[in-house]
Amino acid sequence: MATGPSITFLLRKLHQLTGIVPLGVFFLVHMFTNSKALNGEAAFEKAVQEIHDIPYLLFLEIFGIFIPLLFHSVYGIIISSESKTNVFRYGYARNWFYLFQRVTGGFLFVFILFHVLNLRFGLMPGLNMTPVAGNADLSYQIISAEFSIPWVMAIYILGIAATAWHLAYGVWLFAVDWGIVIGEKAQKYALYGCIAAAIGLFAIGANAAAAFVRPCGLLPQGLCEKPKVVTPAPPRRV
Amino acid sequence: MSSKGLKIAIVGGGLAGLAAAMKIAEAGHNVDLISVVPVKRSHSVCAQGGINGAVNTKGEGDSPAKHLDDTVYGGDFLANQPPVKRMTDMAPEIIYLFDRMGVPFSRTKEGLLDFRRFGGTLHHRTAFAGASTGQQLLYALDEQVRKYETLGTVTKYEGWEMLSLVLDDHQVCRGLIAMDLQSLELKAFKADAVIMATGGPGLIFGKSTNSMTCTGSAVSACYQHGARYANGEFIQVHPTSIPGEDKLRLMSESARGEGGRVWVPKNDGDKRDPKEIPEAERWYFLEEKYPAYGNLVPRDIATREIFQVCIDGHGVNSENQVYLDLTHIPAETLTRKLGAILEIYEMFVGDDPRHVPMRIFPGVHYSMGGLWVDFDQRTNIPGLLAAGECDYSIHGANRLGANSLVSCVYGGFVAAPAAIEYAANVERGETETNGIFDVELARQGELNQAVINSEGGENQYKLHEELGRVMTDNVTVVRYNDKLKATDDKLLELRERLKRISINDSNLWATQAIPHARQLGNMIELARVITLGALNRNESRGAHYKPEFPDRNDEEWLKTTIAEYADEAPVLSYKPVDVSLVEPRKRDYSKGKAKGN
Amino acid sequence: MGENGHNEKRRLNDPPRTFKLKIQRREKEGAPARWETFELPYRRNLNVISALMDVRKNPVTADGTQTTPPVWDMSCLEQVCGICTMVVDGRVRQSCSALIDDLLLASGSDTITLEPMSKFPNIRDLKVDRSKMFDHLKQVHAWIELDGSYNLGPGPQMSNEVAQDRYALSRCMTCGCCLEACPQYGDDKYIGPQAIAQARLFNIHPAGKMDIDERLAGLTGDDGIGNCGNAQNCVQVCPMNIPLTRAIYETNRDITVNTLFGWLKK
Repeated sequence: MATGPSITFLLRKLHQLTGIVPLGVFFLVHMFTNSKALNGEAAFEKAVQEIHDIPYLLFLEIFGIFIPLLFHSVYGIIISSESKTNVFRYGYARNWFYLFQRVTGGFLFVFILFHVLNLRFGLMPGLNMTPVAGNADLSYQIISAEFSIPWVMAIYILGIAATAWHLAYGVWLFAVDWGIVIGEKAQKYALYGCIAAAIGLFAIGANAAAAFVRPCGLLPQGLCEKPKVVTPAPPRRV
Repeated sequence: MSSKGLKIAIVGGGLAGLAAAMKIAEAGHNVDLISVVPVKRSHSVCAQGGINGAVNTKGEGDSPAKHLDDTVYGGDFLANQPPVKRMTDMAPEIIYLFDRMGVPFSRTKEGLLDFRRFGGTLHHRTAFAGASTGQQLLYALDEQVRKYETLGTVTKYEGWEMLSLVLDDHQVCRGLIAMDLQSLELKAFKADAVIMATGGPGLIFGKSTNSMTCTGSAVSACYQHGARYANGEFIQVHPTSIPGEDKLRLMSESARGEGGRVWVPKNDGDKRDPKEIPEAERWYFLEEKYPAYGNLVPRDIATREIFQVCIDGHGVNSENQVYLDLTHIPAETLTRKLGAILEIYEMFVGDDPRHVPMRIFPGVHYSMGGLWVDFDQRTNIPGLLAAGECDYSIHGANRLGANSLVSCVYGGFVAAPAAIEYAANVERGETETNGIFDVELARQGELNQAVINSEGGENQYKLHEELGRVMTDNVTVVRYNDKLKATDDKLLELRERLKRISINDSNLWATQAIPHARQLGNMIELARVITLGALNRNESRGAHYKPEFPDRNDEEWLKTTIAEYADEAPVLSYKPVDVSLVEPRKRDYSKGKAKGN
Repeated sequence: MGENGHNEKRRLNDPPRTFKLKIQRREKEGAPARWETFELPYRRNLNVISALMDVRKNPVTADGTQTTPPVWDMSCLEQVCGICTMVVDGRVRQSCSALIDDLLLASGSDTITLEPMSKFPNIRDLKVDRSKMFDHLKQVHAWIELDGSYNLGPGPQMSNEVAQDRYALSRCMTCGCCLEACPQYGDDKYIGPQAIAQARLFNIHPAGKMDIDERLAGLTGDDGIGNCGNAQNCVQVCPMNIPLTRAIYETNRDITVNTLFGWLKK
């Protein structure tokens, strides 16, 4: 009578998977790109330009990011809505983490919407109106201007923190949900690793954000490559 | 008559009931399984030690014949020997079957079943699964029966209590009436045969080591319908139990084995903290009376002495409890040797026995007596069978440790084919059975209504407490004829007062008041069987001890007590015991053999 | 209970003369819940069950109102049958092993609160219907398929280590603590840790293994194991200390290998 797995079951598995690949991987790449800001405007803009140069970019954006993101967030909201959280009765750490995964997920849904409108499309009323997409040469300035507004900066820092935690703990969840991490000890050490990863990701992401308002971010400037003397960027558009 | 699709009703879903259900379903017949609690919560879960079977895997030359000898010897030769032989012969098969069903028995280095030594034998004969063998065996049967439930051959009625049998004009059992404990709905269960597997009647003694479902009520109903009840007076009392406000919990005897000392304050009612009572003011009564063995006297002696000290008013705080003191042993040693059992004490009493002397008292544990059955588990009522603790057949005057589980399964395995055989051949006079169910339904409905209407101010729970107290004081460890007589008078008084109870629950949905009142009436009837059986038996044998008649008397009393219901008093008669296999000999554990569990 | 090792256990030094039992009452399923408080004389040995027995004997509330006796389930009173599970002072547990003394000491209050489990139909007062848990055992095929119960000799050989792992899982008494505490359980959308651990119990048995596909099928339905949220309350509240999360994650691995990638083996 063994029937195949149900749709719900497969959607859950897909939800777990999309969080890691492609979304987790995308976040790492994103933070890597952002961190180029540490080396100054030119380096960052070059990186943005390189992204622009990726072949099939739109295709990749739609199928590699947008659709997985939409699925992950909408299905995540469905999962969260089924939660009967009880942290006040059973205040164990992992029960709080369980709740926190849902809270960060909900926050990220709003944050990412804001972020994409704000920078990708430049459609956030009252804020920047120039999309970064297609304007690699302006990207640093756009972001720099946005991040100079304290509350916008605060939102981005929060967004980075939430993403770092959501992803790092999500990796732990993926590991147990797919039976990669099993025993109590393995669970514990894997969790330590993920917490360390969360902190590391947050530090990198926050520092990259800071780099848009202060050269080399929060680090001593000696650690970063000296910004090249600004050579007026010749438009290299083909 | 078709040999498939018979309907057998089984009352009770412990080991015996589930064993029978599995066999009947496997044979292709239908089972209605009626149980007051979900069957997985039956009292069998409480058995800790293990299950006996002479498999002889340790090269000790053990054999079913030796298991038979140990069992009938331990039972002081009151058991009919042929069924005991059949059980000990079947025991290894039973253990292997449970192994196949996936019971996580402890295993040897080679991955085979491990066996340990238990009370009353010199052989490694007891298979065990941690410290909860009964739970594990019950779960294995529960799982198998669940499979048949999914196939539709077994139908469970959990949360239903049997109230009465339905007999036809020829006194043939045609089914039973049971009550849904939520709605109080009464339902007639028509059956080609009925198997009783309802366990023991510990609640007659108020507090015992039994579960709160072990009222003996359904068995008492059968007895009141004319089923014979045998050897009722044989009630096993465990020497060391933990007295609780709600029940008694077993304390393993290994606490004494590891050096525990039993004492009471010399001054009766001494309210001081035990640790503040100086050595000189403690009465180590076992050490004083038995200088040679001290606290390690055999179990029955320990039981009697502790009991007597308390009955004489010397118990701690003048209550029924004595100290079992381990505090002179280093805490670390105790944790290493007795950790698990000390945790049980701590969990339920709240004191750490490493630092506070435990309070213990003998506790009613098991009924060797039960419904009379023949060698195929059939009662004297055609169509009614019995298996497990609720039948009398295996343990004689005293049960050996780890024999209860095997006897339950054995009973179920024998009852099942016997019930099928009976059911396949019974003549079904439909015209005769028409109407009898309605009559009995109406009668039971009236009895319930009588309880609801009854107004007299008596409190049913207080009556139960009184019942328990008088039975515990007079009909357990030490028995005197005058006190037994007085107990029966008290039982008659309770029976009268029960008619004048006012139930205190105006909400009849899922009420516990009405089922309890019905059970209490049945308990009192069974209490009379136990009490009068004890009064009549002027000897001491197994668990039955009378200081006025301290010796076993085979000439007059190597007989099975048979009680038959009559309104004024049970009618007692006696049947010779089949001792065709092992010649009765004096039971003496002081030399060589260890005392049973 | 033994977590304090052989340090002396703490008891109430200055016990009160009386304490209060605040009980959630419900006349029948679907009826509104209400609270009633009873005042009882303190005794050192009391557990929740014996306190309830006191109330049952004479159901008069603390303010002197005659009421109906509270209804609850109890059987073994040794924490092996699982029936007396309820929510005591906000935490799900067996009421037989809940000592009044410990509860008063832990809360520092003079009142103990009793509620029925919230994840199951509430029949009356503290009594709930957990039959769904038994249905879940059917769903996951929690048994070994025997050729027959007649004598076929001993079962398969296995190491004591496997036997002890199985014993740990097999101690589950279907009490429902794990489900009550699970933030994913309820609304029939998740089968819960109890059934998953029982499936595991048979999946690691040499003969039980043969039906692993059927058990995994029972766990990959709409209410399957994928709905576990890893809050891990189950393993915290399990009175039998069953390694529930390990059982879930081992089953996850089986599913990854058999269900998700099994087709690649063909």
